[in-house]
Amino acid sequence: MNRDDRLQAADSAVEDRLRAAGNALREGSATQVDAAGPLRQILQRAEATREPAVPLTPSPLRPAASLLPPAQRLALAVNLLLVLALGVALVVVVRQGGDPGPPASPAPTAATVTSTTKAEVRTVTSVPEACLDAAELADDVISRLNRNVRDERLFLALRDYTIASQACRRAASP
Amino acid sequence: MGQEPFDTFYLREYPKVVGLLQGLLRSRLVAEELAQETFLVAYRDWARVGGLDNPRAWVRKVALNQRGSFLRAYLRQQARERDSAVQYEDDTIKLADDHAEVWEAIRTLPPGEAQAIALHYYEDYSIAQIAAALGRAPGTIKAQLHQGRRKLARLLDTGSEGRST
Repeated sequence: MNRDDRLQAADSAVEDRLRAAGNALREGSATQVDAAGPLRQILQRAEATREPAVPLTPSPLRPAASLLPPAQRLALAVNLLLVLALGVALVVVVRQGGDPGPPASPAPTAATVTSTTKAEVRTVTSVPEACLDAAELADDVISRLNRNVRDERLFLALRDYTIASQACRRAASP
Repeated sequence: MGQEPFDTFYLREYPKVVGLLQGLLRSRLVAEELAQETFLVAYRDWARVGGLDNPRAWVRKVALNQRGSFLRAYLRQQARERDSAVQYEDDTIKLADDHAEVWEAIRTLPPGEAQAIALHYYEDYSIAQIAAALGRAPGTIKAQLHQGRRKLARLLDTGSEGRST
């Protein structure tokens, strides 16, 4: 059997296995995936975004936060913590850009552009990819908490956020 | 011909989209999450989406291109499988070992090749349909299918290709 024959035989074998695996997954998804539950969630989420914002008319004697149910207060607190953590990470990145480092090794996450015609220094900051991921995952976590969706996906999103925020801190560290 | 109601379309297509995403991501949770996001987008704009020539292709395109979240989920999933000793045994559509091995191999391909292979063998899409769904040139899809199959032949050690290299 020459090389061409062997390639043709391998192609044919992989083609058969791919077709069989595709059919098996198609049948598995048809029998094992429940579509009705998610449909309710989708309709609820669509309705939730369609409704006008609940008019909050707090009494001047009561702080606005006390009007919220405990779950939303917790979500609000988590939101604030996440925003604070991201703020700290961004400040670290900006400070790195502002510090005068050794001329041969500029900070990897920030670049300083100096204009010679005007006595003006402009700092252009690039945020590490991991921080963008962390911000996106934080949005995801906040969105779930706001919707009071506390399932395994929230757990996974929180875990991914933790990993991404650690990577962000590592990327932002000198 | 009248427009198909959203719930009819959804009930028929949702499990298939979850299956497609699960094939590419392994995690059923992530697959269901992305599928729900996709169908939420479709529902909100159903007056337009339902009137398109091919709403099926539209939902697959959106599912595979959700603002980069697909790629991030894909990479996260790969990193998770690589780094974690914990395997999510219940977090999958159950398949026979032989078929599961094929999908495991598909997930190791570059995302473009894996998507083309999945749409071709799971959805039975032609090259032209894959090109339309993914917004790529038919020639690119043809090359990706070819390269993907060659890599899979080596990975799965089918025939003598794996042994000859």
